[in-house]
Amino acid sequence: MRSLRSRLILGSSLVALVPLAIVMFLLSQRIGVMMRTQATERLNAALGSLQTRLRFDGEQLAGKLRILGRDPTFKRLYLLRPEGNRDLSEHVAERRFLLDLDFLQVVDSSGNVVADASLTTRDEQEPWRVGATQRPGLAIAQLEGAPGLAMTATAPIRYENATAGLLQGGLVFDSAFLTRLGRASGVELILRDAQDRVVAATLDSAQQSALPAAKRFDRLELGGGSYLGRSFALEVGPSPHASITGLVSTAPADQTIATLQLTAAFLGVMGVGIAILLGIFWSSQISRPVEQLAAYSHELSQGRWDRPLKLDSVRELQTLVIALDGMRSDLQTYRARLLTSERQAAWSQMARKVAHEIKNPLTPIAVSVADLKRSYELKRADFPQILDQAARVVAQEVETLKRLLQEFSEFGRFPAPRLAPVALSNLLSQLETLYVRDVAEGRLSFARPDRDATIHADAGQMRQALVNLIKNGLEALDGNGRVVVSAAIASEMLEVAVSDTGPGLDAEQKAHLFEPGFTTKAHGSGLGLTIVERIVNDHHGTITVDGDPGPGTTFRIRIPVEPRT
Amino acid sequence: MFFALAGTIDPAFGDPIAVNATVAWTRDERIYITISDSLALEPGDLLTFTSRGKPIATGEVARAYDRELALATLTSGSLKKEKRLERVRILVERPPMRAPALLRIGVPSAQRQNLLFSCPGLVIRPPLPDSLYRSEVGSERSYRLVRMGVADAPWPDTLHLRLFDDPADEEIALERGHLDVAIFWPGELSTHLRQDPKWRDFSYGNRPRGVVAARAIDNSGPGDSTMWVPDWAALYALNRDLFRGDLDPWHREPLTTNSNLRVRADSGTHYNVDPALPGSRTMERFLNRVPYSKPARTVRLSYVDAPASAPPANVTPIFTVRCPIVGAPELRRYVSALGAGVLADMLVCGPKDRP
Repeated sequence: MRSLRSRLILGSSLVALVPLAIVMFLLSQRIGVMMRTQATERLNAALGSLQTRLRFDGEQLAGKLRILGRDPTFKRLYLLRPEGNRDLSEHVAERRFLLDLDFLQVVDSSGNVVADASLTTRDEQEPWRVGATQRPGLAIAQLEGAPGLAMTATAPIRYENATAGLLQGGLVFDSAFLTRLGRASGVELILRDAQDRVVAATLDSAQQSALPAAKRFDRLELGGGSYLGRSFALEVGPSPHASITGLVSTAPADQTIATLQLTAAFLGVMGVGIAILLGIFWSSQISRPVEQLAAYSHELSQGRWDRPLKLDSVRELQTLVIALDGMRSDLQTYRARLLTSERQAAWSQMARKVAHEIKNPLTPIAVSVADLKRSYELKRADFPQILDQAARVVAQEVETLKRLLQEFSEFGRFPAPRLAPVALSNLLSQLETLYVRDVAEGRLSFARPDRDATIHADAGQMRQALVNLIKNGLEALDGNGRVVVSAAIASEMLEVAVSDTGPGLDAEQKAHLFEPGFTTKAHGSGLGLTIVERIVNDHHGTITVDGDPGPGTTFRIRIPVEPRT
Repeated sequence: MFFALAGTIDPAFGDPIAVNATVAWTRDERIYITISDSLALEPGDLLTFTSRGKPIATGEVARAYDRELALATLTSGSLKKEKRLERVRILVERPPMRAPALLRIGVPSAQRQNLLFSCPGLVIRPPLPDSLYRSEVGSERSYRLVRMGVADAPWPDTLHLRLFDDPADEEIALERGHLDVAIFWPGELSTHLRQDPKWRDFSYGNRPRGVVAARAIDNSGPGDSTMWVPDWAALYALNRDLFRGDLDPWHREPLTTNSNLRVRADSGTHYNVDPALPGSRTMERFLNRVPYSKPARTVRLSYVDAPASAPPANVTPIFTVRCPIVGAPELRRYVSALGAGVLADMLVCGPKDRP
């Protein structure tokens, strides 16, 4: 996640996903609330309508029986019974049909049913029966022998201002009745008696058995469906009252929400996919130039400044490209100037050094020549000795000048290394032979590796580099001490260390150790370590100097075993 | 309390007379007689059966069915030997009427109102002077008038008057035999009793007070009302349909056939019924059920509490008030003898009378 591309993809995905998720969440919540509110309102409206209808039915029922109780024909048939109960029963049956009642019966003042025109139960086995009452008015009664309740109305049969009998009639509330009501209102209905027992319902028996015991609940899971529920009491007659519970399915709301969530998930996935693609595209637009810029910067750091930067990108990055290319061009110019300057400085330094080094031998020569002239003019007796000594000094100094000029000449025309396989053991053996006396005197020792190794190098240059280091180490010894040359191969690199037990180097000396002309010796040319560094660099190796300020110095040369192109 | 003249019994027959009736069938002591004569046999009539001019048996009419069939029971003799019953002649003798000791009369209570008036201050006036009848209150809904002295009039010793709030209850009480006579306000008697052969021969008792009157309300100027002629067809239809013919038309001559009673499509009259009448809206709706074309004459119908024989001069009398008096068949002749009008006059609407 540290890459710009990953972050861009993640960012664009989040930009696509988070608002969508928030919108979909809020939308689903809102729609859910709205749908459930609609379902609740539908349920309340249906139950309100049902309640009103039942109240109206109750009032009508009571009114019908009241009117029938005052009907002269009925009263005459009941009070006179000219043909016995048969005419009365037929009349009551006719009235029951006309008044659209489920049952109608006439009870005399002794409580005996003298005429009964009740419909039979749905299975047509027995007529509807409800407990006879002596109390006029409306009531909810339990059906006898059949599941259900009945709304009964009782009206007195008045004769000469006294109650001569009762008319009892009503409507049966059973499953069929609830089904009719439910079909009209579009809700499932459950009828409970005053003891909260379910006595009829529009649900099937399996669903009825899963109904909760309590009639008060808001939501209900039934038969795999979700329902909203409300109840109202049939406030007829004395309490406790029976009740009707209405259930309305929330399946449409649930389905809508599920569809919405599915759509949201689909849109989310699609949005994330598009965001990833856009992120990849955008990140490529940004990261590829950045990566190219980074690679180009690396090339610059490697000193490859010749190739101009060509990159087509967005305007902001194009500005950076132009600036970077301008910087490359400037650096190239500065490097050329610097090389020229360095070359000039080197030549100046070299000239001063050559002049200085040449001047040193010239002074003894000039002194010897002047001393010889004066001795000759003085005709000194020891002139022959003096001449001999002067000749010896001049010769010696001339030899010094020759050697000096040879070194400068070699430094100036240092050739490119000719790489060839060189066995490490041979290289060390040649050095042992060269310094056989120092080895014998114990000032120099060689530590060979366990196994021999072959490197690709210029054997002569490598030998000269090691000779310079050994020579410096031996010269640093102050009578005592020794120099140790050790070799080892690790990680495809040959490491040769030259350690001495001399006085060591301070920080200032270490800082200028490889500069041409720098020397700690009285008559050194200052080119020895510079030549060593150059040889090592030409072999794609490194040279380092260890050691804290104090006695002892170790130079380490690391050269790749296999040649590098 | 007003004194009322007691009705006198007018014996129908002094001696036995032959009637156009035939013995249809006999069974033991019971004899079934078909009646061809317009003169009806009534329960209690004494019968003498003769064959070839000789009396062979006597009997008494037990029941009469629709003036066409009567059931008699033999009191002496026998018809068993008669081979041809159609040749048996029947002599009928109506025995002198005997006043019963108790006459149970049903009357409307003060709570009962009819289309014309209500009677919250109802007073029961004894048919005889106060000195002859003592009033006893049996209960809130019954009175008892007990005769104190001897009078020529055939009134019973005790009149038991029962008040009914519901005319149906009164009819049922009559049918159950709890009443001997029942008095109803106009229009109250049910179709059932009016059509039942047993009860349909009821009497009307004319009320001495109360007139249904009409008055033209002039729409076009004074003087027109004198020219106004009642729309008898509409008014008689009102009597027929709402009062079941219980009102007594003031105008005797016109419109006795059904065709004459048809209401014209547009009588040109708008009726305004006195709102003080309990049935004003019903009557008004009935009378104005036929749309009238304008300009229409407006006629105001009202109930006037005035002597039926002398209504006010500023109105046109339309109907006087009659009360259906329904009695048990065996008492019908007795009731007639007492006088249906006298019975109807027993109901006096007091000071709280409305309108």
